[in-house]
Amino acid sequence: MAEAITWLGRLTPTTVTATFSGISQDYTHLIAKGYCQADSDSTSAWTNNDGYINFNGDYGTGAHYGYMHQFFYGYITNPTKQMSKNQNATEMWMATARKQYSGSNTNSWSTITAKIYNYTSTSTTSQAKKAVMWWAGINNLANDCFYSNSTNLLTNDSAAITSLGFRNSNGWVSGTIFDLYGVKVG
Amino acid sequence: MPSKTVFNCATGIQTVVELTAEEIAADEAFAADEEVRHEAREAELAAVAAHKASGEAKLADLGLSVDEIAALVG
Repeated sequence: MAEAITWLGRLTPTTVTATFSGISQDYTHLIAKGYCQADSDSTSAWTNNDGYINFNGDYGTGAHYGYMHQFFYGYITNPTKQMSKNQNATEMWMATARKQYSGSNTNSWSTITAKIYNYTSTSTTSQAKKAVMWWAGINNLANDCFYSNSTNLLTNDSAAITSLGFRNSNGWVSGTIFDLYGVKVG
Repeated sequence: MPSKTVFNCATGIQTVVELTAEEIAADEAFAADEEVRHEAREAELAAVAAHKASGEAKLADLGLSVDEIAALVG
């Protein structure tokens, strides 16, 4: 069985939310890839600035069950690694780099890959229900790094996914891109 | 007026459009407790770090070297 991948479009946002709309229902799965940075001048010691994914405008606060994320956090200058996890979280969170933060450089960017399986499914009970996994990483060469790994079975959502969005409360800096691909299997 | 960036996959066109009143309300509701969730994540990390440090100190008290502790806990 072969896979054919088609590029569906690119977002280049500077607003708080960025959304792919009118997603064709002709594919089997979706893949989203992003290279992004939050437009935040915060001086927090945390390089992460909290990004979020939404489907059909829902950030996971209601319709989505089975979500969990775990993330790794480590310093380069102080090799202390930490791991944390959050089951049944109420938002679809991803580690996101901020423009600057205290004690480090201002050129930390994050990358994200999200895979959305069976995105056209309207089933909430069968094996054909929608599922999503996403990975996000921040690598700041001067100091610390983040890696988040998240998964969500969209078991309580009977609507096919027609829009996919990314949010950061500070907006995205110029140069941020999100690409969307359709994967056809068969 | 708050706005959002939309790429319409059907037309291949990106636009920046103003949020509707409903979208603004939803956005404000989401943002209202965003800081709380952020602080919860930071607190969880701090707690993990504290437990790790405490565990490493106890291992040191047992006579393990720094390298041995690092090999065990990373």
